[in-house]
Amino acid sequence: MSWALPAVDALAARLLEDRLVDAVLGWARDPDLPWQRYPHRVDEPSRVGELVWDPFCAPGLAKLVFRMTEGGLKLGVLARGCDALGVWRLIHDRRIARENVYLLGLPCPGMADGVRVWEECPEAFDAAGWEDHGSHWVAVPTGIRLPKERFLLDKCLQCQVRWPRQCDEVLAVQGGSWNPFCEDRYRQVRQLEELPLPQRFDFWRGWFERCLRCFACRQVCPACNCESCSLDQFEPNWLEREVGVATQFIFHFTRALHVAGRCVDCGECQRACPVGFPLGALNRKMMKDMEDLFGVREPFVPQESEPLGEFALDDPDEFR
Amino acid sequence: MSVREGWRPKIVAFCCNWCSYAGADLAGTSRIPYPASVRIIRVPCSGRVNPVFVVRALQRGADGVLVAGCHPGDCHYSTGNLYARRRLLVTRRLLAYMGIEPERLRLCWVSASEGERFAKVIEEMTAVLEKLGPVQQLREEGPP
Repeated sequence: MSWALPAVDALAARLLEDRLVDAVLGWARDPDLPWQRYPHRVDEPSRVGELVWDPFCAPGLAKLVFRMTEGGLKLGVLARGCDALGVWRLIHDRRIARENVYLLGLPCPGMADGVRVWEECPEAFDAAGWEDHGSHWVAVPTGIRLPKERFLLDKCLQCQVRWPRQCDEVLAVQGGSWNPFCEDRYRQVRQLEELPLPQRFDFWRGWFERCLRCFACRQVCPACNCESCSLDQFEPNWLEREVGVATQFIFHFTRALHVAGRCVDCGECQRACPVGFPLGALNRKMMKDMEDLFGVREPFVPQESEPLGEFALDDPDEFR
Repeated sequence: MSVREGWRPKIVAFCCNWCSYAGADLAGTSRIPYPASVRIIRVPCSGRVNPVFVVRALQRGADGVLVAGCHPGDCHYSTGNLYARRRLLVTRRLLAYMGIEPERLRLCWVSASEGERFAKVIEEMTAVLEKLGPVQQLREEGPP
């Protein structure tokens, strides 16, 4: 079975023709950069051929759904596991209406780092289609094999939701299998927790010095959907414009706490970060605490209520 | 690390209006001695305390932050202190994870009749902070 782009196209076209949705959001090729896929919206059934589904569809779509459905547009969304959870985050936050999205689940084999593939194996981009062979992606008809071990995107290494959950329809395409690269989601968190305190601070300070505070992590985050962001406010001035260790600390501390218990672990923040700040290590620390302290199972799955929006009388009291 | 001569820890205490502020008041009117290291800020409820207050206090000169509220079940707003407990538990762990000594943040329950308890908490916390020394991490100009 091939990667089954025709199935995606056919379904998208059917949804548009039946007026079940006004538009379908997916990915399209970039005319100039062969390794790049951009989020792309298709409004006409005749144009579904513009959509593409291959191992290079890296960008997350959830945050875009938020803006696109604001005017009441009914949007079909090609959703991998991470996109579906992001959309559900927005639904539970009451930022988009459930009836305005139609989730077309795509079981995901994991996405490749297009730039790295371009550098090491540019001929892979001549492929007409792709197959998922578990540990490899295989191009058809050229037969080029890309080992996932080498090319998987960072965010996909840690993924636990290759199977799209809570979708209206799941397409029968290859993928969605268990992710062998993610035995322990909290490995990096544990490693950091075991460091002595001063070294932990040095680790983060090293990254604070690199952080540009461009807010890309906030812009792509489906959990960062407030109408006004405290990080933008001047009155009160939560975050000073000055850049130093303390203000960088406050920025990352605030961002991590504001998505605590709400982060869907889609990894978009870290992918969007121009300096590679390990934002996932902060997000997953919050998830680990939600599990350890409050017994939240699967803290990355959006729920109607969120752990920090409720309490239990027997919550731990570890301050003494 | 050299601590400047005569350095004394500073504690910023966020006390809830209904229990802990009155408790601190009682400690004073009962003439219970406790270290003069504490600066009290009155808040309507311990649930009013934003975790960023904690970091900002540490950045701007406090060496420790105490959040004091009503005992669970006694909150004037029923449940504010229970939300605060969750939030500050996570805050404290995140501080430790990012390299700030978690002992610098403490949440305690002090009722309006517990003047002695307030004094004891301040004493304990001052002793802990004296061992830790001034905050090094968040002050770019170094310890005051």
